[in-house]
Amino acid sequence: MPLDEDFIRELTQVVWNTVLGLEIEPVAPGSEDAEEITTSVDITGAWAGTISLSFSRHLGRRVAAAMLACPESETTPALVRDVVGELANVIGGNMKGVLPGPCRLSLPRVEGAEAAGATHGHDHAQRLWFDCAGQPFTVTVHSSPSQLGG
Amino acid sequence: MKILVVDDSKAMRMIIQRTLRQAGFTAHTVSEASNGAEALAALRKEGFDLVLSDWNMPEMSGIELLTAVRSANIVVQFGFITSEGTPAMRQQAADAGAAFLIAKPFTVESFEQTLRGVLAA
Repeated sequence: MPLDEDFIRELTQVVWNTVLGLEIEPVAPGSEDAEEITTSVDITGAWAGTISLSFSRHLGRRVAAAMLACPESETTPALVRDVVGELANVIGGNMKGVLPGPCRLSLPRVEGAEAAGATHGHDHAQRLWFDCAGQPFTVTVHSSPSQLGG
Repeated sequence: MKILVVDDSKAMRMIIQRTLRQAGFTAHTVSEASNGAEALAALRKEGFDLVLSDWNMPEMSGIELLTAVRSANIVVQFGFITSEGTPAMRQQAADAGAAFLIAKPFTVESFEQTLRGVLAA
């Protein structure tokens, strides 16, 4: 399976390090209470599914500040949405690159806490947990039923 | 040289400009557009030497922008900076007239290597 856990873990670490200059560590599954921002991209075509990243608002500000090279106090909700959406776009685009067959990547969506962890329309999910500067976040790959067994 | 950076992410437009500076390309004028349609309007209004464009954008995608630029006989060097760097997309970009494709996440070194010849011209 192209999107196995090792690939997702390594890609996430490379993106965090290259784009944000931040180190992250894989951690054991934890609470989802801190998931206040979820950003997602859809992949459709020969493979179909959704890639989601979920953070606390605090970590959202932290990654926005890192990407923009500015103090956290200078980040705005719009900039945080922009940055986390771009992270989903970069991770989703790189995942699309290893999938078989022609696929299409959607524009990123950014939603609040109410969408965190949503798996509607999908019945298989891989969720990986990471720690970034003491803050947890998750990367989830929801694949559509047609992908199971393939 | 005049460079037009096209990306729907304001943060990414800022990062591309910062990376250009970090790669040593400081003596250039950089303008921004947030999608292909906005970029096409800018290109029709004034001359640019290089377009650095995202692929996946609302309103008009990067490949649609490149096709429109070539159809309108606008003379400008064009390169993609995109998270989707598959061989098929690189071929599609080259077939449409793109000079290069830089994949996200990129590094200062990848900018320096790819743009050295383009921006030295």
